[in-house]
Amino acid sequence: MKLQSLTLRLSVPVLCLLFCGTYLLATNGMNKAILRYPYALIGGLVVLSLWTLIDELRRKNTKTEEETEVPPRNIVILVAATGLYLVLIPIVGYFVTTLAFTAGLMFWQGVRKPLPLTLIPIGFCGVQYLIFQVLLYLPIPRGFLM
Amino acid sequence: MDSIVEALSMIFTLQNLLLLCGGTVIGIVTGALPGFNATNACAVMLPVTLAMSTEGALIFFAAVYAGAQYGGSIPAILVNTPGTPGAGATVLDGYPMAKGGEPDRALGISLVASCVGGLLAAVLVLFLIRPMSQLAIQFGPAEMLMVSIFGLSIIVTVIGNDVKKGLMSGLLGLLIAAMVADPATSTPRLTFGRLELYDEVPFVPALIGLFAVSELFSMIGKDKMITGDPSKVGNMKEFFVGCMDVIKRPFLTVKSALIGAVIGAIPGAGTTIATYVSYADAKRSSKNPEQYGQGSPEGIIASEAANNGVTGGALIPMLALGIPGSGTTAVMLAAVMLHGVRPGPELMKYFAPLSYSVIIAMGLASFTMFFFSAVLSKQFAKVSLIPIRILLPLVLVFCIIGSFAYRNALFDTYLLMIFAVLGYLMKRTGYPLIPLVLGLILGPMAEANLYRTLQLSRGSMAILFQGPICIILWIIIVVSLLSKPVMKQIRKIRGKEAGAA
Repeated sequence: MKLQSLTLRLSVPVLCLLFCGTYLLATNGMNKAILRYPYALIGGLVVLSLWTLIDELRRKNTKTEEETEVPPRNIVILVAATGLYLVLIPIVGYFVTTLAFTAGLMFWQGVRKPLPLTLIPIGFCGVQYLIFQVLLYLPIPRGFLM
Repeated sequence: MDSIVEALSMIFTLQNLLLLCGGTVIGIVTGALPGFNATNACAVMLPVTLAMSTEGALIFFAAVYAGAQYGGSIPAILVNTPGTPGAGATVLDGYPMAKGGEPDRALGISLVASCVGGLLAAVLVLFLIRPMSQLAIQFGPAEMLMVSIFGLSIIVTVIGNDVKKGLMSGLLGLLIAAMVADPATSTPRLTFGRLELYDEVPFVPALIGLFAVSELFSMIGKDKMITGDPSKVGNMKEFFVGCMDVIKRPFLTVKSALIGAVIGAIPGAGTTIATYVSYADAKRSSKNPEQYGQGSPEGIIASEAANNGVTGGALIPMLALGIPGSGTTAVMLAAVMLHGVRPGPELMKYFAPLSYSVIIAMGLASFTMFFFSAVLSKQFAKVSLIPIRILLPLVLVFCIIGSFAYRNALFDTYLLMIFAVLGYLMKRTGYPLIPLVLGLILGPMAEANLYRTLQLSRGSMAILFQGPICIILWIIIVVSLLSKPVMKQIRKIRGKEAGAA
């Protein structure tokens, strides 16, 4: 039994409210006839989000059971690393960025032996390229180094 | 009958048979990986099917689905860790039997029960799908709007313990689907000026992000998902003793498969409910209920036959109404849409051979599953030992490249990450993901039918309360929405009474 942080518990209703707010701002001034359906959804979502928000604020000391616990820092690192990979892939290209990204993530997670750290990313990049580009004729991102 | 013959000719081509075999192996492997299930496997494979024909993609998914349902029982039996949620009940007797020195017997029972369960459910669906779709074909826009609401309401009430969170998830999915241009006037709404969001919120990155990548987030830093050694298998004699255990109990196997198929046909009921209901029923009607939980073959049969029976049943709402009954069928439905086929009652009218080919492929997957598992059981058992620290980066990159390949757009990979983070947060805080996915899939259908209905009725919503189908659907919606809170209250009151006594 672990305490689930209040920030985490509030994240989804807050995100829902932000999304509704953005929707309302973006569609402000549009023909109201075409917005009846999304506005009805927004109405329901805002009510439920506020309700959940109040509920969660009230029971901030309640214990909740969690199956697994991944430190939030690790999630942030993974998302940031993936973001960097997505930024670099159209510039540098598929092979170099994917090799660096997979090897980097393996290293970060504790793989230290040089053989798996090099052979697995190389083999994986090659196999994935074969599957997508050669077998299925599906595109893969390209950059100046292919 | 002609449609069935045509469906058979679709399946029995070299390419589609290879897809059936490949899908089965991929399904068993992913099912054997704790943390992955049929939905994750299908979501990851979604972009790969873009290069396949429509029937090829669906045959492939049917095989992955069936294979993953069985694959989940391998770590359940060998190391007390269900590979998929549906294999939860298999642990109860599979692991004690393996611990007692008969792992191959338990695997044999699980395999044959899964195969028979899958096959029987497919045969049942083959006969039921035509009358179901003939009823569904009479649906007009108002009824179709009701079907969309019905699908969403059932899922919201069945999945998750908190109806409020389920409703929020469904509404969020519907609102995300309504970001695109308005269907009546094509005016862009919340598209951020991106052409990629003009037509639709792309399913591929959304599904991969929600189901697969969000799951990867919860695996960070783990070495293996299991402890123990699952590789001590390979005694074929014992394996066939297990196979015979199932053959000696035909009534239990058929009954469990039927329970699975019927519960699978209820949108949102899911595999876990089916397996536990079947297990409880088998225990209740057994001559030796005291052996349950101690390594009883009957317990494994009841759980596994129902587990694979669900796969067939789940096809009924998907093919007849266009409502996905589970996460996996939601991904399959997305695959149908990606190939330009609009799901719903008209699917059986215009694409009957395609629909039959999925059902038959589901049945045939039982045979390929038996063949590959009998030959490769030792290798499949070792799959669950793959370290997460190696698996995670590879699956993540595969998901990213797959999302990109869908439309050759980097924007989709950004969407993938947004949905992955959203999915992770929702899962961690107890919001069910299936209503969100259903909202995304059913949203455009609901909105288009709403406009059509309002045009037909000149703006009056009274049309939704006319006609027997609409009224029946309203009753079902109200009952399904109220059943869970009412049952909860009844249980609470009974608990209080028992406490007071």
